[in-house]
Amino acid sequence: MLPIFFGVTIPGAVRSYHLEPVSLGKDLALMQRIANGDGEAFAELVRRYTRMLYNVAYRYNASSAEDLVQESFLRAYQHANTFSGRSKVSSWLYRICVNVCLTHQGKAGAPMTDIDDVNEADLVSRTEDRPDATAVRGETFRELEDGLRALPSQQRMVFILRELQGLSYGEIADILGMNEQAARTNLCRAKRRLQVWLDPLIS
Amino acid sequence: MECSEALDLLYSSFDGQITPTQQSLLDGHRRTCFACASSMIKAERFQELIRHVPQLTVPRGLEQRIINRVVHGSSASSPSDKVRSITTVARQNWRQASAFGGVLAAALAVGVYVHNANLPPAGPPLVAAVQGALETIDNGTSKDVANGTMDITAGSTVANTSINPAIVALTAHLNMTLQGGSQVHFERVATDPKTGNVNEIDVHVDRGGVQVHEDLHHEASPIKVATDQATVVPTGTTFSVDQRLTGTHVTVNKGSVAVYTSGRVMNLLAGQGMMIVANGGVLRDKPVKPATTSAPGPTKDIVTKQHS
Repeated sequence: MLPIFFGVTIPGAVRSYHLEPVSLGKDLALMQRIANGDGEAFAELVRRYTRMLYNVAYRYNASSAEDLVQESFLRAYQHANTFSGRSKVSSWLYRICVNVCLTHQGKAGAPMTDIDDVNEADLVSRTEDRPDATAVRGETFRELEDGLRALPSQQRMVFILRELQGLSYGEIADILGMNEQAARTNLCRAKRRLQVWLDPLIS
Repeated sequence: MECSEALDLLYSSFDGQITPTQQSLLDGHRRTCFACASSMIKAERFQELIRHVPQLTVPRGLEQRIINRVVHGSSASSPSDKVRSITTVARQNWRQASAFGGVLAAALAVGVYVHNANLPPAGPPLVAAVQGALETIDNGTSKDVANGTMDITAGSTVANTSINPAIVALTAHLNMTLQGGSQVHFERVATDPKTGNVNEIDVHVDRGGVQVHEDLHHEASPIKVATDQATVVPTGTTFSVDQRLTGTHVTVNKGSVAVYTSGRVMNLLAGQGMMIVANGGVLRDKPVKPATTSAPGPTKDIVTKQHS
């Protein structure tokens, strides 16, 4: 079964988890209520779209994902009165979240372990034992996330929006302020790099 | 049809966005190009893999935390005041996190970056000669360079998307070989505004392996090569740094290097190697066989030089 995307069946099994069939009329009314300071309307927005934004923010920068989502909703609340209704709320929120992610240059370091606290035998077994299938799948997803973080920011975001969030090239182009061909080119480059990155695990 | 074009067409076919004519060209290429056929099988596996990447669930309590902060902000009275107060809190949190990270990094890098307190000016871009094919990314814009020159500044990313190694001559005395599939990020590049001489280069290996060849010269070596686990500073040498799935592998062919990790410094001599795993653990003095031949590149004779 191929996913339905804006009422059009797109071959290639692009996913669309998040694009709930919310009418623009309802979207606009919700945003107008938020602009008027309606806390319950804002809570509804948060409940509806947190998962969508969290998935984008986490894939972009796992260590700051919560902060990025909070900042995105904060800006949405702050600028609710600028929502014109010409786009879906989801697209509008994506644009905010993408801007927050792209302007957040923080780079949190990974937690470190003291050398003397690590058992060398454990290290050897960890690196030399062949993992089982489940571990391979888990490791592959982790490697994919590492690979994503090594991509240039625009390629990373295009990949996230297209392959992991299932947006159309038109939407991606609109959100990122580029044309559709640039979005396709960025996606191809991102895939080439990620494929090289994952080569040891998919060979 | 070029192989790279075929791969792009294959990626487009995953979206169902190629014409029947393109599909038939792609099928024809696939039947006749064995190198491509293997690459395409991997591309299909890769596509299958990303189709199964799970959607994440929201951390418990996140939605309520957002609502509490934005709608029920503490002392703010109007919606705009509330927003301001929450923005301040969020920024303070980020600042605190950044400050902690800075302190941690400073603690871990004792002695390594002390001279960075008086960073030299960035200066003009470093013009590097490239032997082979590489891709540079600056400010999100990609550019392919093949057997030419490239401008390198702080923030430049250089990737080798082919399977063949490529050499970047950073100075007359210093070059770096990027193995196929590797990628590096130049975190700092400082050149002398007057002479153009390179004062400092900080490179992060994002993935894959690089080999650094340093010729004899009279100034301190300008380059530091870092991965997620370690920073390697040459002391007149030829060495390799590999960012692998299992961690960082450092091997020294000639001379010596100082490896900075987890707040301590370890010296490696020619013929020695080391693996630093993702959690910071280290396998010391892992014996390796020194290379018997010189690595390719403009530098031929490498002479060990110790820093004073």
